[in-house]
Amino acid sequence: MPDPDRHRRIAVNESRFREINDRLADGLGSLRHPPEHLDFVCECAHLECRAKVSLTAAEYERVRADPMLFAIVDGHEVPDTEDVVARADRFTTVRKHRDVEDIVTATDPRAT
Amino acid sequence: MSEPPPSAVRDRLGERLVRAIASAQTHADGTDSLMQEAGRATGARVVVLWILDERARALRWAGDWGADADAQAFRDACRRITFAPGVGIVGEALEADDPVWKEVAAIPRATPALAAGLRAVVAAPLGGPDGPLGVLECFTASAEEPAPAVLEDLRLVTSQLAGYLGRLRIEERLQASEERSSSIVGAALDCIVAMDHRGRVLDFNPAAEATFGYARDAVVGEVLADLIIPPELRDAHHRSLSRYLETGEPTILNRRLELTAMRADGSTFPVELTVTRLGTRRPPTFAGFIRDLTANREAEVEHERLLREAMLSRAVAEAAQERSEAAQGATEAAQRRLMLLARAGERLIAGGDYERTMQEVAELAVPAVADWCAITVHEGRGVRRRVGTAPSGAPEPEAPEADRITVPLRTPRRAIGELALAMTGSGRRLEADDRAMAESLAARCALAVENGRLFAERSHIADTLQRSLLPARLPEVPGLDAAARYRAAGEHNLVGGDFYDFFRSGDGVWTAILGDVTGKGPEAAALTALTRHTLRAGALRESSPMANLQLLNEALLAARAHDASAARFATVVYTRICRSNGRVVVTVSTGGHMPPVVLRADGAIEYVPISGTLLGALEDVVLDEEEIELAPGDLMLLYTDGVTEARPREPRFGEQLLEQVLRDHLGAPAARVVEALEHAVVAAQEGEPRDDIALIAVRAID
Repeated sequence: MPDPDRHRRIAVNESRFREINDRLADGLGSLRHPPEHLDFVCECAHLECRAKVSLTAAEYERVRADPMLFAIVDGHEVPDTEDVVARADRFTTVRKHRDVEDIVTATDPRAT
Repeated sequence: MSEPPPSAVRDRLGERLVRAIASAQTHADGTDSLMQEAGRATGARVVVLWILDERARALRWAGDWGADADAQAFRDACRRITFAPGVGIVGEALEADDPVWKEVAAIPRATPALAAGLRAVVAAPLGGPDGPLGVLECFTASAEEPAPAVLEDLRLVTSQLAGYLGRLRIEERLQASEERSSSIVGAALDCIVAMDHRGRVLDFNPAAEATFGYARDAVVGEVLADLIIPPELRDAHHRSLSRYLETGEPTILNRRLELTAMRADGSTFPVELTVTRLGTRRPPTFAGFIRDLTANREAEVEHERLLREAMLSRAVAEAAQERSEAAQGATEAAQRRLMLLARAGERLIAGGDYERTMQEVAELAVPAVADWCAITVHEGRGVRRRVGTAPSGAPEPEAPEADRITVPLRTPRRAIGELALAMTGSGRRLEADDRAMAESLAARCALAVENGRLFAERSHIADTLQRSLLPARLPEVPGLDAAARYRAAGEHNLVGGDFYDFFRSGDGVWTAILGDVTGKGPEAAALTALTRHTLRAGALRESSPMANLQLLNEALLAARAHDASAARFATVVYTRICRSNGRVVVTVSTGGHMPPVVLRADGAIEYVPISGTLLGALEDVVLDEEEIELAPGDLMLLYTDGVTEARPREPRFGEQLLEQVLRDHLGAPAARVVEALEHAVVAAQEGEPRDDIALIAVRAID
């Protein structure tokens, strides 16, 4: 049975990690010699997760372009709250379900 | 053969001078040749050259020529002296700007000069374009002043000598400058590469050799771009150079640029390049100052790597903090729910008025798990009544569905109410775990409400039954002031074991009985009814208290015979009160009960000396009767062990308390005495009495 409260809590958590990563991306963008792959924190909902995901700047921007997308370590997806839309060697992209669209959109640091 | 004209002689002299200069292998050769020509032109035996040291402002010996060896001592003397401008014939000639003639006897060097056979000297200045360079002295053996033609020849020689010396000086300066430049370029740590307008290498310093891996000799004349510029950047280099040559428009000149350079082995590396044009000559030449930035770049990359790590570490720490706080929040919420269930459970188990309990439960829930809580019960026929609200009296909020939970209070048979939680203004959200908690809390509340209702129902029944077993009120008895008090101990839904009765049992005769039957509840009620009705019935037929107690014993034994499953015992104190002729006589008998106590009008306290056997236990009971008289003001008190055993661990406490209350109420109405005694006993037990309390006071009045 769907648990809307849990879905919202997970969405809020993942949105916070997205904010952290966006600040990190800002900082990395100021480097003169950025490496090809940049490390970010996994944006999954697992409270015990301490993993990092590695993306190119372009890959990160593609994920961030859609407020419903999050970058996580492969296997960290929570199937009842999100769908895997792409699996790469270094990370997996998930799309949040519609029931939390208001949260992930409202908390998107790039939303104006 | 005629003498050639002076001009022809002078032309030949000029030719000789030019040849001497041109054929000179060294600077000294040239100077010597010109001094020799000066000697020939003036007939001098010794010629001395003095050069002006501009920094010292002094004329120093710079060379000499002698026609013979006799003058060597004089020449050596000249080497050791200097002249300041304007001093001596040398200094005078420098300032005079024209030859100066003197006999040697007039000069300070006269002695060595004369010794060398020299008699006169002519000193001629060596004028240069920027000022005098020195002086040339010509010493002759003749003391005659030179002829004008001789002086003219001397001027020609000194003019050529001055020009020659001037050129030498310029060459020396140029050489010194080149040496300095070469030293700087050679010692420079940065690469310096010179290039012509065709882009070909003109120079390549040692630092460039070391950096790029080429030998200077191998690259001079080669196209610079092919050597040190990576292929992908060469077109840009060529375009930039062409544009400058065509338009004079500098695009990169005198700017500090960071580019990629290429070594001889094809490897590339970062460099800082500054290109400058050398001089203003056309076609232009350029110098490139190149600094290898490999170490800088590596340091920069390392610095950025550390910076990246620091930024990532910070992000990881922030994420961990977020996750930790989320986990802590979940844990704290779970703890709050558990704590609420625990506290509510304690409160619900404590029982009592369930409506008050529901209010307390609602107050426990706010703000621990919700911003608003209400508990509603169903009272039948569709009537619903709110029995708990927190905050107290708060109206039902208009919270959206997501911020509200309503769960039924359900017993095994039916729903008896609802528990509602809502979040209103705290920003918190109700979660699935809150629903589970609410359901658990509602189940406990339902049980408490059901129990409370049953308790109230049973209390009502017990109270009704209890009241049926006691007289509704004591009858008015002329000449007597009588009052009774009863307080059942423990649960209010159980009939107590103590009882009393007070009734008219004859003309001018009243019976007061007080006792205690075994058990509680229905059994005690039945036994009390049996005891009471037996004694009432007996009192109407038999005047003897002792006989009536005997009758009761038989009735109890008979009842036990019908139902042996339960023991039926009773203790009873029976008093028959007769009032006649102004006297009050009381006949007392007791079946296992405490004897009455009498408070005399003077304050004396007397226990009626009577005892008897417990009733209902044995067929053969030992009973007795005792008659006492109550004078006006005397008060007789019947009481149960709820008074005397107020503090079981203090055997005398109850009796002392009883006696104290009696003394304190000497002369008081019977009703005040029993009321005060009940209060004292209850107070002494610090809470609900553990045993029933029954009291009858009878006071004789005038």
